[in-house]
Amino acid sequence: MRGVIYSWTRTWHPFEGTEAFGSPFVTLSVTLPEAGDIRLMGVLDGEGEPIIGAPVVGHVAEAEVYGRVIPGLRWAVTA
Amino acid sequence: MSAFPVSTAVVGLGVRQYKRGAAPLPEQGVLVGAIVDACADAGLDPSEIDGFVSYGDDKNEPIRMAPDLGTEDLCWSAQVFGGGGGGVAAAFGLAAAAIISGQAKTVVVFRALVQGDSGRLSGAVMAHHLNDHIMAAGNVAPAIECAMRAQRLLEHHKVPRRCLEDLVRASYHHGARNPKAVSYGKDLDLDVYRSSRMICEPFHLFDCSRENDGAGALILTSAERARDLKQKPVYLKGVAQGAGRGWGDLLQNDAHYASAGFESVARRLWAQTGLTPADIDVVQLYENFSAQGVASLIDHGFCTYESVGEVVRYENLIAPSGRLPVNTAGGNLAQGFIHGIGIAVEAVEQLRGTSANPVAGARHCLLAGGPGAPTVSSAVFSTEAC
Repeated sequence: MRGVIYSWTRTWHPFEGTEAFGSPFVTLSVTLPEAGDIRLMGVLDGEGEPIIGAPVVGHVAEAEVYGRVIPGLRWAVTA
Repeated sequence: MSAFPVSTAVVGLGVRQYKRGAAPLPEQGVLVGAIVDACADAGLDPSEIDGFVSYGDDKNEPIRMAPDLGTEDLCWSAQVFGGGGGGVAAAFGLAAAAIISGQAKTVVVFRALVQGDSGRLSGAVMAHHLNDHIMAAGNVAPAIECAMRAQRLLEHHKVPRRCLEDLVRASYHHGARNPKAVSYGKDLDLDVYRSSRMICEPFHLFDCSRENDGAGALILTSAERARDLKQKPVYLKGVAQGAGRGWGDLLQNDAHYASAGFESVARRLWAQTGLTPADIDVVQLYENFSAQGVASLIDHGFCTYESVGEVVRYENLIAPSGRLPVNTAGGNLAQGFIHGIGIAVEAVEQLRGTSANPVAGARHCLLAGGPGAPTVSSAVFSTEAC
């Protein structure tokens, strides 16, 4: 699944429910050009810097929120 | 669009505000106190209040206050949908609708917040947004939600970061000079602001609104009756609520993601009042976060992405010298935060001439509700009865 970063934030405050995300963590909104430019959210993996317009590749993984494990997307910046 | 009937006025104000966790009474007791204060301010007996309106998932059902207030006849009991502060201005629309249609005569618009009783506000607000897709991205708090949009505002639309700082500085400038503000006597040093801890980029601590315990109450009645009461009437000149097409998507595919959601609401407000941004003398702006306040000014037409750097400048935003005085009591950032009811109170204080930071000769004050909420609202208050 390929996309382009539409927006992002890096969260430093320990918001309740996000303990399993580590700190800080980066949330992305990603545009999918191959799906009519709809946007999906997810978490940024790896060392790449979030920059609007940067290409990313994503996969379905799991996230633990408020102690509950749910499906979620993870993205990585491609070169 | 037909003109809004300017036939109602705010005649009474009551506020009880405390540090979070420091309210001396449970939430309903604090609220009843604020309503009684507003009645005393207006010269009304609390038993005469026959209508109640709130917003933001307020938990205080009006009938439960009737015994304390001695309510003679409860005629109108309503609340604006939505968990955020988007409904604060719309609440005046509901109150006016009741009065103009003859369903009630004396309506109190209120909001109460004692989080030890009613639970954390941020969680209640976010409950309107959450689904597994959003949560799996770690987007569990209003700060994160709004930071995503703020980042788009800065990085893509090129709004200068300085505009956010200047809005915060102006709020603290006013708050430092307002004895009723939490930040009274405390100017915000820019170095302190910039070095304050990061919450979620681009928001530092001071970009985020406070949270206070308390309650605010504003009494609306007919313009005709208002003339016989104690205070100088402040007229409801116009009010609009809602959202345009492309706003409010559950997966945040909002068409104009970086906006505050006011474009259609502002258009209707200006059309029904016959006013333009140039007619507005002072603005009370709900700022949950600094960037959303700036986006709200853009949405209402005070500036564009191109001109925001010229308009949203500290010197321009402060009373009495600025051309666009904003949040003259200190706003949610510096005056205090009871889910935004304080900015409505300041709109009335400003037009009564009792603000701590008065704008000389102010006739029209814009009240812009919670930006970025799925449904938003704005109102204009005026010294003019037509």
